Order: sequence, then structure tokens, then C-alpha cells
Amino acid sequence: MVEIDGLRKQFGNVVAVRDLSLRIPRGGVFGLLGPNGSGKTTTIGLVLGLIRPTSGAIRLFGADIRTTHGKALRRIGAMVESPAFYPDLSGRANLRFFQGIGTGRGRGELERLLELVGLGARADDSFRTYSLGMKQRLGVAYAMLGEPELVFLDEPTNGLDPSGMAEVRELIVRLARAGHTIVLSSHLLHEVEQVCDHVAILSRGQLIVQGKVRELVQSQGAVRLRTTDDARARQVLGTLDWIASLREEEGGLVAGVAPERAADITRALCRHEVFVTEMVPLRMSLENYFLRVTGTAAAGTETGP
Amino acid sequence: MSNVLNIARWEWFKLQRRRMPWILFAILLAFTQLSIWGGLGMYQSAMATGGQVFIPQRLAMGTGVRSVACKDLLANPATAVPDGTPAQMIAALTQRCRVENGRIAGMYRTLQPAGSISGALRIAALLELVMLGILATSFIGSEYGLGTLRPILVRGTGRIPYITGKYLLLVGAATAALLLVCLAAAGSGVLVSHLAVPPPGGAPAQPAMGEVAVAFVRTWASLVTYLTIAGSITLLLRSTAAGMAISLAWYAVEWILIQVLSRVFEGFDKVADYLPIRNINALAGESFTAAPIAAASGISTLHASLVSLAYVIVFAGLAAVVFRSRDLAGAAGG
Repeated sequence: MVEIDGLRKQFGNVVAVRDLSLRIPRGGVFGLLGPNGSGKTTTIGLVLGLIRPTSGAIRLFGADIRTTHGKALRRIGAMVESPAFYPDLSGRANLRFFQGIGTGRGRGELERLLELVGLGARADDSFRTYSLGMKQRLGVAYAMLGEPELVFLDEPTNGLDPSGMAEVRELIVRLARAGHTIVLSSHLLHEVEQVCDHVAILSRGQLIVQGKVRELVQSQGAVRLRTTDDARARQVLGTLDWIASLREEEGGLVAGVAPERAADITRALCRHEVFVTEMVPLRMSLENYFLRVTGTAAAGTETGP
Repeated sequence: MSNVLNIARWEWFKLQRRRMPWILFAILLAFTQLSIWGGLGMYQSAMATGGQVFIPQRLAMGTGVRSVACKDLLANPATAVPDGTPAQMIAALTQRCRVENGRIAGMYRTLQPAGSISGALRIAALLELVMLGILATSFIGSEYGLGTLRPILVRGTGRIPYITGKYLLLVGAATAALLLVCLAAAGSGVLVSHLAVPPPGGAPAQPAMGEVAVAFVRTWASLVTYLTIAGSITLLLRSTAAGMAISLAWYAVEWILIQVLSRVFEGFDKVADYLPIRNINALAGESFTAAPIAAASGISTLHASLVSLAYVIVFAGLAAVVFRSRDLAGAAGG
């Protein structure tokens, strides 16, 4: 749906996005992760044509944006950074304006979207009287105008209280189920882990890794095991090249391997007459994974299931 | 083109919900109407006496008579003035009364529909111009201030069509305001012309409607030129405050600059003939008589039109090129 190749954006001497290549597949929720200043919003701005790339190519729906950007944008909805609306206009009038200048689908669509984001009762109040949560929800409704195939939501839960965050998360999942492809930019890893199918992690303008959330987390998983002979087990496992790391911990061994390979471990140990007495899969959270790959945390921060 | 017109339509949806344009229009309308109805009051007061002339203090001393109504003086000069007034003085006072009668006839002229429109155009050439400066800078700059430019452009409007639509709306609003002010002036002109009794010498010739139409076009052209420059400055600077400050201050400061620099540099007058405000005022032409700071100094209509057009092309072109290529980065997309 979105193909980015060798994208680079430089503001003066600062390189905001560095040789970024990325694929956003159709369907589901795609998370764009990264610490503040990692280039997430700049990347979205580049895709939306708000920022001109220094070099590189972006293809939307299979076409180069340099030739068909206007048409492509009409299939896209986006809320970039904070929701910006006209304070003197009501929520409904704001949506009507943005619907009018874009691909509007009549008043029925407005009412449906206002209900969807839970603003039906306050739709005629002026935007300036809205709480931060209501503003964010109006931003989501704005992004959904014209039934877009692809929706960019940049930090949609910024400034929301826990219940507001849960509401927006729920809304995102609902939208994805309805067939929209959602690109969610966030630095709230717990939030991303809960709703995203795919993620791309950016750091200092560069893509660090991209893939399915489950696979990424599992690829960095580990198992803790106790055996009849830990010293011998350590010797045996140390010869296996598919075990990324091995260390002693809490009277057992922790092997850096996806928990799905537990059977391979027991099989290898059995061949050497070492028997497993206990094996516990250690799941790595996306947060820990993120901190590890962005190099801002010490290694070995796995947590139990 | 349909995209541009659609944008203009929806920009109007937004503009009509703001208080500022209606307040500015109400002020403009009030000033133009006040000049017409106030003019009627002044005319009727002048007509009651036929105007007045003041008697030199040495003749008035002891008589208690300080001024004489022209109506009395022209009817019977000898009895209207204090005893002992020399015949030469009476002749001079009579002459002044004839001039006064001419002035009253001129006042009557402005109380007719065509004259009322001319008067409204004179006021609009200054007042609407300043108001358009405020409106254009606010309407364009607020998109940056509120950060709404980003969600607008994300809707796929295209940058140049968007800014063209917005500009067209402002030109349309300026034109509509000028037309409405003229229509209201014509309406009031019809009313006051019925209320005002013609001056003693008979009703003077009215300005031809063709002349009024030319004055309208000239005023309109001067307004659009200024609006374009003010809007372009705002777009380039991405700020309402900066755009307003520069465009309004320049309007006032240019005349002072010309006065100062003409004294310091010989031949600066020739350069001054190419400065924007001087040409905008010259374009407004005879309809403009508001203030000395704006007095055009013998610039021909052709010269003023060409220089104004050049400013429109340069400012609008530069603003469009920069707006088209500039990144919308930062918190508010500025």
C-alpha cells in the first residue's frame, strides 16, 4: 500500500530521515515506533506531501506520489501531530468544512463519524470548549472523512487520560476491523503492542527493524530451563548455532531462543543424556525489545510470562 | 478550476462564521452612510442661511454683529451689514457669499445618488483598504497560527488551488463589500435627494454614471492591489501579526519615507514614483482625497496601473512559488 525507497530528508545540517526503505502492507494496524525525534512525524509528512523529500521515492497505492499525489491523498485520511481545527466553529462545522474541500460523502457521513467517535451530543458546541480527549476524537473523525483506505494517526492518544487512551485504542481496532489500513505513530509501546499487527522501529531517522509484532518479540525470546546436569547442558547448548545467547540465572540456564523451539532443545539435550526437569518460556515485551534494538537499554531485560 | 471554486465556496463557509468581516463591513457601511446623512444635515444648515461670511472685527465692534447670512447679504447688501461698512468691503463680502453658494451647490451634488456613490468610494479607498489589510492578513495568517494548513492540504486540495481559492474569496468579498456600500450609498442618495431642497442657483449637474463606474473600477483595482500585497507578505512570513504590521505600517510610513529621503537624496522623487502605496493611491485616482499621507503626486493612471500590476505579479508570484515548495514542518505546520 505504501512503498518507501531510499527516502532522505535533511533540514539544514540535520538529517531527519536517513535512507529509509519501508513497506506498509494493506489491512490491519501498522505501528511506526521510535523515540521522540526519531523521524516518525517527518516520515508521515513526507508521505502526505507536507514535506518535500531531499531524495528517495514514495509510492502510494502503486503510483509514484510525484505524479499522482492529489489523487492518492483523496484515498488517505490523516491526523498529524495535534488535532488542529477552527476554535470558533463547532465540531460538526469543522468536519463539514474539511469534508467540503476534500472528498465529502454528505451529511450522513458526518453524523455517522460523530457517533463513531462519541461526539454526537457535543457536535454543535464550538471546538474551543472541547476537552483534549474530545479534540483527539474529533481528529480521528476528521481522519476518517471520505472512507479512506489508508489512515495515518500520529500520536492519537497524546495527552489523554487512561480511559481516553483505551477509548481511542478501541476505536483504532474497530476501524481496522472495518477494513481500513491504519498507520499508528506512537512512542507509547504498550499501546502499539496492544493494537498493531506490524511495526517499524525508527531511531535517529533510520529504520532499525520492521516486521510482525509477534515475530519480532518472539525472535528475541528466551527460555529458562533446569536439567539433571546443568553444566553438561550448558556445554551441549553452547555448540548449537540457533541459540543466540546462554547464561546462568537463578540456579538455571537462560537460552536466547524462541520458545517455539523448546522441543529442539529437549531433543538435543536428550541425545547427550541430559534431561529437562523444568522449562519456562520468557516472553520479551515490545518495550524491552524496542529498548534493546534502539540501543537505549541494557541487554537481558526479559520478563516472565 | 472547479476545485478552486469549491475551495472558495468552503472558505466562505468559514469566513461568514467569523465576526471580524461583519464588524469591519458594518464600520465601513456606517462611515459611508454617516457621511451622506451628516452631509444632508450640514447642507440643510447651510441652506437655512445660504452660508455665512464673517465681518472684519473693526466693523463689527459695537454692533454686536459678527457674521452675516449670505441669503440676507445677497438679497439686500446695504441693510445686511453694519452701518458704515465701506462699499468695497460689501462687494468683497458679496463675492465671498457667491463662493459660499458654489460650495453649497457642491454639497447638494454629493446628496444625489451618483454623488453619494462617489463620496462612498472616496471613503472606501482608505477605510476599506485598511480593513482589507486586516482581514486578508488575519484570514491567511490564522491558518498558520491555528495549524490548520496541514489538515487542509492533507485533504488533497493542492497547494496552489487552495491559496488561489482563498485569494479569490477575498477578492470576491472585497468586491461585494464595495458594491454593497455603493448600493447603500445610492439608496441613501435617492432618499436625501428628495429631502434636500436644491440650492438657489438651481441643481448643479450630476456626475455621469460612467464617471462613477470608472471611479468604482479604480477604487476596486487599488483595493485588490493592496490586498494582494498584504496577503502575499503574510503568506511569505507565515504570521498574521507580522503581515498586518508590515502591510499597515508600510501604508503609513511610505509617505514619511518619501518626504525624508527626497530631502536627503536628490532625484529620490523619481524612485518614489515606483513605490507601492503612492501608485495604489494614484490608481484610486480622484476618488481618493482622504489624507495628505496618501496624496498621489501627478502619477498618470497608466503608470499607476502598470506599477501596481507589476507589484501584484511579483508579490503573488513569489508567495505562490514559496508556498508551493515550502515544507510544513513543526508543531503548527509553519
